[in-house]
Amino acid sequence: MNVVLGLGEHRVGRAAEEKWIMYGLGSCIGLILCDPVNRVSAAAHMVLPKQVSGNDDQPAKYVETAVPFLLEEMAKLGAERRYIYAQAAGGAQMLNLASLGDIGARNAEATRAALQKHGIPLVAERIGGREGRTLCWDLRTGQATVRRVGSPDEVITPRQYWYGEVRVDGPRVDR
Amino acid sequence: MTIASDAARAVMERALSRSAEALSRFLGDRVLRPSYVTLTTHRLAELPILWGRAEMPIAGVVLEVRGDLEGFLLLIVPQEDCAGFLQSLMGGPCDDEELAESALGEMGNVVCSAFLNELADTYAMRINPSPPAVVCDMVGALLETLAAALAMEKRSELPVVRAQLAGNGQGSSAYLLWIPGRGDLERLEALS
Repeated sequence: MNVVLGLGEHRVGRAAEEKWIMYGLGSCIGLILCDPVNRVSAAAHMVLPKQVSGNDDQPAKYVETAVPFLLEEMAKLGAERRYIYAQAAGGAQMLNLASLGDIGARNAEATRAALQKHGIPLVAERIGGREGRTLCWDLRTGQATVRRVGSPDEVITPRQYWYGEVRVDGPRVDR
Repeated sequence: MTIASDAARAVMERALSRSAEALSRFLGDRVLRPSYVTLTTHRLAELPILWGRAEMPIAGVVLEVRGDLEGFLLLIVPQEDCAGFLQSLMGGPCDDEELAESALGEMGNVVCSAFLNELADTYAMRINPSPPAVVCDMVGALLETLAAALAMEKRSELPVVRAQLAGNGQGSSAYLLWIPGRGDLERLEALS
């Protein structure tokens, strides 16, 4: 089942039949966190580096709140911090308009800093440049793919992180 | 949501007609009368899926509107329709990507400037659009980036003015889209 994550949305879970998709990432960052041992995943479609209004109830919208929020939610499902790794795509500079600045670069920088702060390795990324990207996370295979206009889908997850090749000690929900 | 004042709607439609005339002159080809102008309100998160399919490849020309009006003005051409416009512009097929982008950027500049000039003339406003930025990519990625810029301004709901400009020659269509600045539409209505 495909689950689409729009701007500022997130998902946490372990349902092996799901694929999480973030379509048309421009300056936004699509972030995937995964604990392959306990098979717990989380993803967020992050829009800006930090919160600009005080009463926003979407923690996944901002990098600075999304990362700790996802980690907390994963822990509730049994994820262990020591196993968690990250993958990310987006952060492009789609528009060269002076007043906009490079929101994508700021999002990318904030993402790397937040992951480093929480000790989460970023094992795959397709960040920056000037291209839009669609990021897909397949919870059954543990493979993240990136799609761009005019290019075939690219699996960005390093082979050693695919579910087929990791030792699974925790409860599995594969079918 | 509709544009509340008939006078404001009439001005928008005149502005669209002026854009169509400018496009006709630019292409050397008659452009069909623009479709009825629509105004809808969207949550910020809905902006990237305005066209339904976020991955739809397009050529987009974006101008930032500055001065007495603000926001973003876009001319969006679906990728499959680009060839038709380029055929009219260049008098034949265009294989040079850089040249094609430049031509589409100029087309967007002409159409968007005509739209803004009508508003400026009608309301005696000073409007200074930015130079055009051209993006050939997924429509969702372009609109998502604008959504991020608008999120920085703490905007959560957006009015969007839209109309279709249909080319006569190759069956090509382009879409004009204006995301007005905060309070711009209310100001236009008050002046109408």
